[in-house]
Amino acid sequence: MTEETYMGVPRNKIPWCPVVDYAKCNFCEGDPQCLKFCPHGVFGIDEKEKKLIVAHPDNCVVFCRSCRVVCAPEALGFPSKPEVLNIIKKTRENSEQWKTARS
Amino acid sequence: MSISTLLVSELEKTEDKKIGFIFCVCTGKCPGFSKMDMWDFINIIRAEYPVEYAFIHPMLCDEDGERFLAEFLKKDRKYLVAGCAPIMQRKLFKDSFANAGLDVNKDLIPIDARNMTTQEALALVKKTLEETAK
Repeated sequence: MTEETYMGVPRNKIPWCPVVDYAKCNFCEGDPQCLKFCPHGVFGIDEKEKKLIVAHPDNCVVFCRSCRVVCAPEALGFPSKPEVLNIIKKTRENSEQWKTARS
Repeated sequence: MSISTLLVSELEKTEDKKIGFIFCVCTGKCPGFSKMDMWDFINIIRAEYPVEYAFIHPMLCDEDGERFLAEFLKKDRKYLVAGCAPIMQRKLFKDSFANAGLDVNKDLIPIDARNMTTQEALALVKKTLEETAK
C-alpha cells in the first residue's frame, strides 16, 4: 500500500502499524498466529534471531487492529488513533493538493 | 397453543430470518479487495440476489463500526458479512451480536471475500445463500 493514500495522505506518511512487545511475545511456540492471520505480510520472521518482526509496516491497513484478536499473549500494541488522526489531518493541511478543500 | 407448538414456531422464526448483506471492506484500501470491482459486486447483490439489502461498510471492527452495529443489528435478521476470515469475524462481532440478542454462531454468516475477482466473490455469495436457504 506504499503508493496508496488514506484519507488523502500518502500511506508512508502515516505512522500506523503494530508494535511487538518482546517481553510478552512468545513466538507462539514457533507458529506465530499474527503472521498466519495477516494477509498483508505485515509480519515477518527474523531468522537469525528467531523472533517476530514487523517486516512491512506500510502494508498494515490504517486503523486495523485485527491481529490483536489472535494474539494470545497480548503482545501487539498500536499507536493512539486520535494521535494518528491528528497527524493525518496536519499532513493534509500542509499539502498543496488539499488547498481547495480548505478554502 | 402448546409449549411444543410455541417452540416449533420460534424455531421456524429463527430459520426463516431474512438476510441482510454487509460488505466490510477493511477501509476500502485493503489490497485484499484490489482484484474486484467493489461497486459492481455490491450493486449486483443488492439488485439481483435474495437479500433484504446490501451495502458497503468501510470497517465494522473499528470503534465507529461497533457503534454502527449497536444501532443497526436487529433480532429478526441474519447477516451475511463478506469480509475477512470467518473465524476473525466471529471473534470481532461476538459482543455486538450478543448485545443485539443475536447468536454470532447462527445469525452471522461470515464469508471471506478477499483476494477474489468480482465473479468469484459473487459465486461464493450465491453458493452461501443457496446453502443457507436449505
